[in-house]
Amino acid sequence: MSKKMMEIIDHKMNLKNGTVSIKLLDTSFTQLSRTIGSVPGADWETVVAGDMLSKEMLVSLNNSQLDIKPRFENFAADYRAWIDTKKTFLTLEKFYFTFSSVVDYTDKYIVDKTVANYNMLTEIVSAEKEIYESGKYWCEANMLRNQTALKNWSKNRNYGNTVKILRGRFYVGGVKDTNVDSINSDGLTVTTSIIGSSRYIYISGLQNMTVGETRTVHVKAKGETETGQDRKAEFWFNIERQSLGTTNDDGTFRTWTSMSGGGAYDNSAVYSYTGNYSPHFDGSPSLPWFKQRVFK
Amino acid sequence: MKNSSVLATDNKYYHYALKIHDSLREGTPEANPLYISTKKGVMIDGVECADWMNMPGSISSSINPKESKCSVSSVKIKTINKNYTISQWLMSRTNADNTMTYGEKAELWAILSDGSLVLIYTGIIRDISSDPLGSYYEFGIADFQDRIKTAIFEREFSEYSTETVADINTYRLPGDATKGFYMTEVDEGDTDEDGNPIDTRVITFRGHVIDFVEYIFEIAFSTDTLAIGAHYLSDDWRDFVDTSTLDKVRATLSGSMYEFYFEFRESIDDPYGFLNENIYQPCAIFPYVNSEGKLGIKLHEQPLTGTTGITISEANIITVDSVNTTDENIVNHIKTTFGWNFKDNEGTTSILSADSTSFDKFKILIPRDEAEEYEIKGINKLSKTDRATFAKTLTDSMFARYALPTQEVSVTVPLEVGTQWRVGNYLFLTHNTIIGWEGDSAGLPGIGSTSEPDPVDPYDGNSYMDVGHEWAGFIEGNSLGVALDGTTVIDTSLVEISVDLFNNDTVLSCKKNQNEAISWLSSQGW
Repeated sequence: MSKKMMEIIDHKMNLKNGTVSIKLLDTSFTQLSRTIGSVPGADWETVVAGDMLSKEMLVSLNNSQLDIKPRFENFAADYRAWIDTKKTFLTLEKFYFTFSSVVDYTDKYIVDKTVANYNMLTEIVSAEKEIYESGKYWCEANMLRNQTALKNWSKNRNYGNTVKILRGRFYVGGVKDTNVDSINSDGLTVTTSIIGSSRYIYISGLQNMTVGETRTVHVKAKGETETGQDRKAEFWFNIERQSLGTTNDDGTFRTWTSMSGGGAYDNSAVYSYTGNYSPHFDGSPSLPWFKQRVFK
Repeated sequence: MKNSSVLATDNKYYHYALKIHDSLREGTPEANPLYISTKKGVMIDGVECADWMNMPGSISSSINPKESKCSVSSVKIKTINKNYTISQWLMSRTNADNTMTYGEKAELWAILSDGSLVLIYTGIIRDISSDPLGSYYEFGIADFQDRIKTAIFEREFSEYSTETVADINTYRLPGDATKGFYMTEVDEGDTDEDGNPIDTRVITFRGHVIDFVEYIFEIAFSTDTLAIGAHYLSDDWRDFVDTSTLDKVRATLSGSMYEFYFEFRESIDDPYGFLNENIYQPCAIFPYVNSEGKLGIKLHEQPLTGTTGITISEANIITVDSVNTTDENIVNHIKTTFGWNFKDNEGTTSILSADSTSFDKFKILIPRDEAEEYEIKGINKLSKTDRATFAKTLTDSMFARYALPTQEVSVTVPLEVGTQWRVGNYLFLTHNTIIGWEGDSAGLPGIGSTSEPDPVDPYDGNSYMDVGHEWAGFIEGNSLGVALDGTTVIDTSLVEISVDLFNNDTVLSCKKNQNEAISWLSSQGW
C-alpha cells in the first residue's frame, strides 16, 4: 500500500468528544534528506563516486575557497592603489568587494547532525558564485566603467586620433606682413592666417601619419620691411607621431620647429581636438591593461 | 468485559486537569499554584486536584505556512468556586508582592483512560472573571504568541524619555554594538519643534536571524522598569518555546547569509507581525505550536531519513471528513524586494520570479493580481552576490513547496492518537480510498509512493555520492547556480549529489569554477 507524506495545517481538539480533527496538506516533497558523516583525511579534489559526503571533505573545499579570497583582495588593493596614482588628474571608481559567503565554515559542519540538503548546498554554491561574480561580474563591470571614463578623458588629450589641428606661428624678422612663398606640406593639410605681422600655421590631417613617422612642414616665408626691403626666412615645423611604447599604440604628437634666416616662431601645439576618443583606450580592460596605459 | 480496541466506547469519557503555576515563587514554601480537574483523584506534582473544573470546549490551532502564520485559539476554563476557595486563592495571589496572576503560566492536561497525563496546552492567563455571586470563575488562557503582540521600544523612542542612550543600552537593550540591539544617536538633519537641530535615535540590530527571534521574545517578556531582574510576567520565555526547534533552525541556517542587520527609528507596534514579515517569511520559516503548547519554528524542507514512524491509516482514522483539491496555498509568482533604505522604509532592488513548471500547468500566474511579495529588510550587509542568492533561495523553497496543485484531506482521529501531533508535523497517510490518486498524472507521487522503504538504511542516515539513494539535495527547478550575468556557474540540477559537483572539472563544478577564477586572477597579474 502506498503512503503519502502530508503536513498538518489545522488541528482541532474536541475535548468533550475526545477526538481530534486534523486537516492535512499535501507536501510534494519527493525525497528524504540525509546528514553528513566523517571520513578522516577526505579531500574534495580526490573523492570519487561512492564516497561519503563527509565533514572533512567539506572543510577541505571550504579551505580552497578561502585560499582564493586573499589573492582576490590583494588584487583589488593593487587596483585601487593604481587608481590612487592617477588621482591628481583622473577620478576613477575604486573597486571594493566584501565576501559574505566565502567565510570559514569549519564549525558549522557537525558530523551526523548537519543535514546535507538544499540549505547546506546553497552555502557552498553561494561561495562559489561569489568567487565567480566578484571578478567576472562586479570587477569587470567596474573596469568597463573606468575604461569609459578613460576614453572620455582622452578626447581632450594629445593622442594620435584625438588631435585635429596643431597650430604654430612664424614671423619674418622686420617685415610689415609675413607672407608665404611656398609650403611643402609633406602630405599633411596646411593653412595659414594672418596675426598682426606674423602668421599662424594650422596643420591637420595628422591621422594619416603612422605611428613612429615624422613629417616636416617646410615653409618659405617672405615679407617687406617698412622701408620696402625684402626679407626671407624658412621654417621647418616637425611633427613626430611618437610611439607610446605599449599596446593599442595610438601615438602622441611631439613637435619641434627650426628656422633659418631672421625671424621668430612658436612651436606648433595642439589647437583643437577631433572629438573622438583615443583607441589607446580600446581593448579588454584588466589590471595589466590599466597599468600599461600611457597618460598624455 | 472491557473492549480493549483503540476505538472502544468506554474510552470516550476523557478528563482534564489545569495547573496555574506560581512561577516566581516556585520551589519556595510560599508557592501557591492552583490545581483543578474535571474528576476526583487526579494527582499532579503529588497534589490532588480539586474536581471543580468544567469540561473545556475545543482548542484549535492552524498554520498558514505559506504566510508563516500560526494561530492558536484561546481556551476558557470554567471552575466552580466551592467554599469560595478559588476567590481566596485569587486574592492571596493578587495581593502578594512577589508573584503574579495575569501573565502566569497555565498548563492543561488530558487524562487518558489508562490514567496517564498528557500535556495538551500551555498558555498564559489573560483574563479572569466571575459571576456577581462568585459561584464560578472563568480563566481565559491565551497562547504565548499573544504576549508578543504588544509594542516594544515605545519607551526608548518616546520623545519625553529622560533615559540616556548609555542607560538604555546597558539596562534595556540586550546586546552591544557588534551583536544584538544597540542604540546610537545620529545626525540625520532632524529638528525639534523650535527648529533646533536634534540627533535621531536609531536602534540597530546585528546578529543571526534566530538571535533576533530570541531577543524579541526576551524583550517582550522583560520589565518596564529600568532595573533589571524585576519581572512582572512569567519568569522566562523559554518556558513557552520549544528552544530545540530554534537550535535546529539555527544549525540549518548557519551560513553567514543569515546574519541580519536592521535599523529602527520608531517603536515596533506588533512584534509578532514584525517577526512574521521580516524573519519568518524571508527565511522560509513558519511557526507552529507543539503538543505541549510550546511555540516552535520549522523550515519548509524535506524531513530526514528515518521519519517513517508516524503513520495514520484506516486503523486509527474515525472519519474522513473531506478531500479537496485547492489552489489556496499555491504560489508560482514571487517578488522579492531588498536593499532596504531604513530611513525611508523602502527597498531599492526587486526581483520577480516565476515557477515555469507551475505556470505551464496552470497557464496563469498565481496570485493573479500581483506577485506574492516578500520584503527582505535584513540583508543589507551581505555582498550583492549573496543578496541575490538569498532571494533565490527563498523563492526556490517556496516554489518547491507551493508551486504545484495541493490536496487537502480532513480526518478525525481519537484524542490519544491526535495529541501526539500538532500543526506543522509531517505524517504519512495510508488509506486505500483517500489516496487513490497515486499514480495518476495530477499531483506529484510524493515520498514512499511506489514502495515501502528499506527498514534498515545501509547508509545509516548519512549521505553518499553517486549511490542512487535519496538525497533531497537541490530543489528541483532551482536557479541557484546561475550568476547575476546569467552564466551558469555551478550545475545545481542534480537531485542526487555526485562527486561531479565538486571535482569534475569538465562540468560546471566547484573545481572548474575555482580553476577559472584562479586563471582570471592570473590574467590580472595576481
